[in-house]
Amino acid sequence: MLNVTRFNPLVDAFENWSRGVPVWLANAEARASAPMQFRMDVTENDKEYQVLAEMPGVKKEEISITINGNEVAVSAEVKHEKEVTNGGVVLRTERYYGKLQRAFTLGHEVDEATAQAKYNDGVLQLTLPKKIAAAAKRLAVH
Amino acid sequence: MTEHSAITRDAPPEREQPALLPPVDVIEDSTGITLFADLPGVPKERLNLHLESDTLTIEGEMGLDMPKDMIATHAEVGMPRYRRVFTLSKELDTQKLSAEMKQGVLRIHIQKVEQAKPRRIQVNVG
Repeated sequence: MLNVTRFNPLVDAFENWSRGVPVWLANAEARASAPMQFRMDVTENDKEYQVLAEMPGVKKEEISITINGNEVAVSAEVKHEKEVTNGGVVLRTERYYGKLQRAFTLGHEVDEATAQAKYNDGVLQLTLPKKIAAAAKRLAVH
Repeated sequence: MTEHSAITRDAPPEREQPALLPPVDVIEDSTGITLFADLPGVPKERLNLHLESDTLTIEGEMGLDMPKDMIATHAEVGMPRYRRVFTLSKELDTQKLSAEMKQGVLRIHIQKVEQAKPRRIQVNVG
């Protein structure tokens, strides 16, 4: 599982200092809490993009998608189910809990008015129509 | 050639297709164990749970059908298949197994056999 964050020793040192930790220690906590990326596929034809993103165990209401020009950001959260009750013992835990987040840039601007999102079987499917670029205006010379 | 050769000959070994290993959580409590497996993209119809003596096999195929005219610009989900095999302990009652699929997460609950469940023993006054 990759969890890549930008290395910034100054910010790390400052956060450590503010919490009373020796500044030369790496701030492991900040890195561990960075949101996880999910896996996705992007396909396109001349009219639209299709994005398939794997996010099992997320509630439909917890997915937020923002589109800004050709930038698309998706975030969601996998919540712990209240399963460990009356003396339950966790034998194995491999699944991810917490925030999922990903932002990406597409080659064309997206028409956010007709964009659609579906969530089925743990996969988010985005249909993002390409915005038809306004035809270049030709100015008549008088 | 003997008459029996056709019957006794083993079936050709099925080639195992490469598959992804789904991440799982396993929780044990006094009644049994609960297993959660992440199987995003697998519809209920393409999920195959197979139980043979004490071996539980979870197999699922993703049902994502892409229109053919699309070109992949970015692909991360390489294999459209999941498989994972578990060996169950003897104290689990494989007859009492329930499974449900929700939002791409498979939940399997297997009860313990009655003898393995904790119980209170009544003490009689002699």
